[in-house]
Amino acid sequence: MSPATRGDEVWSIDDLELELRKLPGVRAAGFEDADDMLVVQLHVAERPERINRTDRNDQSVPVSASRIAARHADRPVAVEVVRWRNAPSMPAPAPLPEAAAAVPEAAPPEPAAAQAAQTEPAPTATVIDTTVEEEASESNRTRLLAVLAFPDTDELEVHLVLEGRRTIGRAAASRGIEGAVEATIDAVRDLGAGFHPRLRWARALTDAEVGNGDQEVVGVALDGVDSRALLHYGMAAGTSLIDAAARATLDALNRRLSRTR
Amino acid sequence: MSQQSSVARGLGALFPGPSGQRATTDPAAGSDASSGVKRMNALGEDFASAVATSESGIGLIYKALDSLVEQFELDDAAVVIEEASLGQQVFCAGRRPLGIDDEELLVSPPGLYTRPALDDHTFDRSMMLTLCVLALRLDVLRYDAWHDALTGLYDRRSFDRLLEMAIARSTRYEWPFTLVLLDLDHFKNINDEQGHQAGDAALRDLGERFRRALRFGDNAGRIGGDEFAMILPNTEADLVPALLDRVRRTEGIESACPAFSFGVAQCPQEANEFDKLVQLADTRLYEAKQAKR
Repeated sequence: MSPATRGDEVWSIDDLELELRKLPGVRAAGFEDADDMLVVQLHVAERPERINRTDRNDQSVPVSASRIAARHADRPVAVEVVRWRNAPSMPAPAPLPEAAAAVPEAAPPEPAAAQAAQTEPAPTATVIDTTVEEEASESNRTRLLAVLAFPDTDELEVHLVLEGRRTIGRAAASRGIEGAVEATIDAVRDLGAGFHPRLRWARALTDAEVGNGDQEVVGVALDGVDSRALLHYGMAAGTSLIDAAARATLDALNRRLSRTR
Repeated sequence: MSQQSSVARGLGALFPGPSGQRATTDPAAGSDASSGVKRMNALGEDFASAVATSESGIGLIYKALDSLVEQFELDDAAVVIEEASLGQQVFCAGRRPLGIDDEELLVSPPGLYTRPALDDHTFDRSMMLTLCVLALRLDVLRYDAWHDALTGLYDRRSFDRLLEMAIARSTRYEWPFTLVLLDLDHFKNINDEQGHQAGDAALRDLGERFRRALRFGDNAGRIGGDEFAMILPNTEADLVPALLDRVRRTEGIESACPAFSFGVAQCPQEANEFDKLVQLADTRLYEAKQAKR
């Protein structure tokens, strides 16, 4: 824990995990290696349980988590934040049991029942998942893992996964919405899509048009998706314009994506 | 070999006792309940000893879970614990992400959960739970002890140790780095004219800018009231102004960056001893301050 006792290794995954667990509402953290990337999964309760905090309260968990992970890790990191909106408030901390009776009998965790996990996309340059419900029922659907923007190097990355295979599409971050669409198409191409979508137009919808509160909404039109030369339209909401643009692109491609190999 | 003694041996290997003598592995130990409890108590002492001396409580929690899975040949194990400042926390063996089947863990009371059920009643679940809480609590305390509560950066003590380590590495492997000492301009005026809350806000602001602007491998600390320091490996001194300009222009922070002055010293080119390096950077910081007056 202390930098003084770690010898030459200043960083460890334990330090990263502790900092992540200190973020408001975080109840669980998991780590997974995927290609050359570290995937960090956080489960966050809807209502932060901790009130005795002064650090980073003004930032959302996804943004804080991404910054912490990037600061600690020596390789690319994707942060998935899963929010548990329906989780009931936890009982007051119970005193540690003296007898076994106070500790739950060992039992396998039951499969998810009525409580549906809900995920919430994170703001720009982070996260993001992905709908857990879809993961269960439609594992063969293409999922958006992350939209990462690197303003310093003018890079934008879109991370997709289909049946365990991850691809990364890239474009210039300075191209904004169009860049996010192009990066998404680039990632789709790497999944082995047999079609070649092209961006016709993309634009952000205004609050007056969609009235969607905090979220950004983007509409896109693609051609080259099928042989009928039709435009394919997509629209989606996200916590940033580039996030929404990537989701809208997937929406436009919709059912075509499960056929890519 | 009974399942119980296997576990005792397995965990004992992870948490060796101070004396090296292990009652837990005594093959003569009976299989009755009382000797079982004795074995687990000895194991508990060792676990507690490991918790107190280990660098990472979280690492110990995972070691204990992984050992449990291995020794009992379980499919999976998880522990749900309640820690005073972190609230309820779930840890799964292997540090794996939670899957859909695990969502119940997030709303389960504190306890040890295994798949399949662990029906060995000589295994002391409450002891393991208690020690996991203790391990996590120690991690939190250690973290707090090494970090400045206001800015979240390293505090003076930990930064000094980091600097000592950086100098040692630089001397041994000829890895150069630049030490930057930095201090806010007119900080006393901010406190006097706008109040201490404004002063604290300025310090937090700068700390946040460092967190966002620095690269992996760079380290920053708050080493005094309005004094900060950075260790920048493989960074020439002439690159520091550009870096600090990036700090000033950090995106996503609406407030204006507090004005500051800085001084740098390069190791090993200019000095390779702690005091000399700090003194050199401090002198240059003082000169920079004087130049502004």
